[in-house]
Amino acid sequence: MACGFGVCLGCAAPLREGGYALVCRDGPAFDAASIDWERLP
Amino acid sequence: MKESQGVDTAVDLGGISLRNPVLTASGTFGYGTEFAPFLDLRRLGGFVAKSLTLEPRIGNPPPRIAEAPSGMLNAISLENVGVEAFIGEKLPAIPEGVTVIASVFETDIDGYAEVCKRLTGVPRIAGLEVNASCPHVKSGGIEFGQDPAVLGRLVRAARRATTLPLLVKLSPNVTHIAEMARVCEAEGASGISLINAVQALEVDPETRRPLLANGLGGLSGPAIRPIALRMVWQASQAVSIPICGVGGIESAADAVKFLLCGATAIQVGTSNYLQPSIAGDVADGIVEYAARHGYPRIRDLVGALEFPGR
Repeated sequence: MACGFGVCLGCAAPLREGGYALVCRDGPAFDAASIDWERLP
Repeated sequence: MKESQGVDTAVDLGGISLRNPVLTASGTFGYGTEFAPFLDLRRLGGFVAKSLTLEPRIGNPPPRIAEAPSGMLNAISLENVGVEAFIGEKLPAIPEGVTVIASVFETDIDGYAEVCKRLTGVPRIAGLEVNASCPHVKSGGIEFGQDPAVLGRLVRAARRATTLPLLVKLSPNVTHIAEMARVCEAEGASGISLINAVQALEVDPETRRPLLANGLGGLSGPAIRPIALRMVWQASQAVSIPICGVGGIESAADAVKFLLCGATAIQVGTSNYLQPSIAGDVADGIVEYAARHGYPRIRDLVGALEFPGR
């Protein structure tokens, strides 16, 4: 993470529904079913 | 708010009146409300919002950022809410008295013109900054700001599309920044902002892959400051339009360096991530410098560098 508060958009976590959530702002814990594990590095 | 100690802090950046020379850089400051818990934005001259495109963009796959010596790499790829959501939702949330400069990006020249046109006449928007460089966006091949002919067509189209003060943010990924500055001046830009991030690469020798999913990214932060200072100085020797200096500013002293090299105003970028209140401290520190050195007007610092042989 660069900023940790939702501004740099660096901590993108791919979502099953498409697009990305931010780990700092929307997480750090996520419902496992919502994450697109294939696209997670 | 710190008292200005009798120092006149106002500057005019290509027709945008700023209460002081400190702005924040596009992409590092969200849409103006995210920093409210840390900083009263009215302490700044203003801010430049995240670059807007016609339609929302979701950005690149992760990893989007990586550590680099004295800086960072990014390949965010211009994730943004799109121009309509900015106008409808983000702008109204920005407190009164904050100067807003909107940044514009698109993947073709007509797109840039359309976004410029859409933003013109929208209340609260004091000026536009055309993002002529994104070191890692694949559409279009090279950065617009890397080819003087392409840059010229872009600035001409943007100039036709808006009556607002029009800044052009230049790419450093060129051989002659002065040439690019002259192109912007010739096509009617109100001013230029430089520099954007430097095209760069970091790799992991254990995986034998780049750290970023995109491969290449843009280097920003203190590592690029001497490059930025050099380019601001070179541009200032080439054009008369005002310059907004950007690149690795960490302190008021750094900001003053850019003013001395010919910048009328500056932008703090990457440093916002380490200390969200930094831009306010920079604004206060410039006043202290001016008072200490006997400059009653900050704008008299612009270009005051004593360069050998000049």
